[in-house]
Amino acid sequence: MANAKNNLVAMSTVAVLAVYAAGFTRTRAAAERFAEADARVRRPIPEPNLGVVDTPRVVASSSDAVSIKSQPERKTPAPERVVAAAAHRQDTVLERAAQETPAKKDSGSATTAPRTAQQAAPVPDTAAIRAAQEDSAAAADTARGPFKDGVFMGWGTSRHGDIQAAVEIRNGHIVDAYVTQCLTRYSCSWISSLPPQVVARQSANVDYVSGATESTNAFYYAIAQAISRAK
Amino acid sequence: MDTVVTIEVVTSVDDAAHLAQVTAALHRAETWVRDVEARCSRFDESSELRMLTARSNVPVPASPMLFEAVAFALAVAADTNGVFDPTVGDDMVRAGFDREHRSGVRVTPRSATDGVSYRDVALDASARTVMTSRPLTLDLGAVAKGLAVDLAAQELGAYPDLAIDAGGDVYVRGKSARGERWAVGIRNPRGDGVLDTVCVDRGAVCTSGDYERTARDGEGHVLDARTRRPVQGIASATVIAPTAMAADALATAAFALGPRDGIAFIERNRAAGMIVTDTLERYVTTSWARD
Repeated sequence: MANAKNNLVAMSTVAVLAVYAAGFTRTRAAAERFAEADARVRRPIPEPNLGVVDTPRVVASSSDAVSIKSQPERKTPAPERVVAAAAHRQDTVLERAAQETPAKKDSGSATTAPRTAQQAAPVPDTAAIRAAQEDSAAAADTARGPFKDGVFMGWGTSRHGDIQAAVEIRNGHIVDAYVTQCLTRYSCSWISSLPPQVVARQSANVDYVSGATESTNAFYYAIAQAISRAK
Repeated sequence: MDTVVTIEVVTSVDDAAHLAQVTAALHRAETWVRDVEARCSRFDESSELRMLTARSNVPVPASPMLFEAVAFALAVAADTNGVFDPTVGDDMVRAGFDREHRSGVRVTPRSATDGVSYRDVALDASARTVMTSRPLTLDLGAVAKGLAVDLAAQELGAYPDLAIDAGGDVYVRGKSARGERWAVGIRNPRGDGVLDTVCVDRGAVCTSGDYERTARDGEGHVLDARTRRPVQGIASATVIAPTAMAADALATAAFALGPRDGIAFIERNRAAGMIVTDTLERYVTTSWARD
């Protein structure tokens, strides 16, 4: 049925351009109003190492009475974050903005709650470092990494629930990363491919997963927060 | 649409003025996402989508966005002989998808129990109107989310390296912050981790899976429009296409078509895809690239 002319993929490309062309003026104006309103509550781009957090500080094991509320219906949209990453030789700035699409109108003005700018610390990309080497002899030989030693935890949120993740740092390198609490509506088991990426890349920048719920993002934010505390 | 959208722009310029520019562009992209959500929600009575089908046998003018979205959904319906059908909205409600996730608002079916199909929706491209011949509810779920991602990507045209993730609909172009092609995992629909990872230079990777929102009895969210019952035997369908709108709709349609017809359908539309059955058997198009 489909030929070159009515091929669905080709049709979708034309449709997107048509919609964009028809609406970009209006959207631009709306975005400017939105940005103006937002500028009033938004802090300027924060400096690295600020480590601002809005979740309870977790210093010990997860058996601590951490009163994390499950907030699947947060009024405040997911935080927008700016991550400054020093990657390779050049300075690479990574901007990662998470926004929740608006709730139904019936919740009134709650949907326009201000968003907070959050900062995770710089995440040096030292992929060359084989941090997985846990041998004490090998570790002693390895150059010291950029992080503070210890176990650091962070929380990431999604509408399906929150994830707490930890990074374990030895000799300045991330040697382990894992989910410590999974309060999402779905099991966290399927994101099991992500923690090894944190170790291999020494950063929170894990792959995107097609078909995943928002848990990938929750994991990213949890790790980014944990790493920011290890700076 | 009911999902979180993450936009990641990778840039090598690190000064305040540039960051302000990127932030402004992100705001414009976000505005597109909100606009699509507002117009295309089947849960919001006042949405343009709901207005469109509020009356039958009257041509109703549509915005360019809604018209294109409906036109595309109808084209996919025609191409699949109705296996994919945007008029399943009421059947979705009957199957238990009657609540807006966030607000918990319930909706009720408008149409008679059967016989409604995409053929009951007529478009007039020159007048840009939509006319329904019977009471029905349009569901643009498989189209609107992708369209939102595509419009955001279009708005961010000045940035060659970016990734957009809308609840598992992933669009990428250029390189990641690590200076490599973006790698996108395909979720294992039955177990832990990912089933496969694809590297994409530019395009969308969308997966329709039976693990997504399940209604009653653990049934999946994709209905076979011919039987109006949830599709059985398929665990997930993934499509890689230049636009997220096509990738999402094609993945949903391929899921409903099943392995043989689904793969042929994806090939015919010159996209790449993989269909995974209940027992984790994989079927892929010849163009399916693995790295």
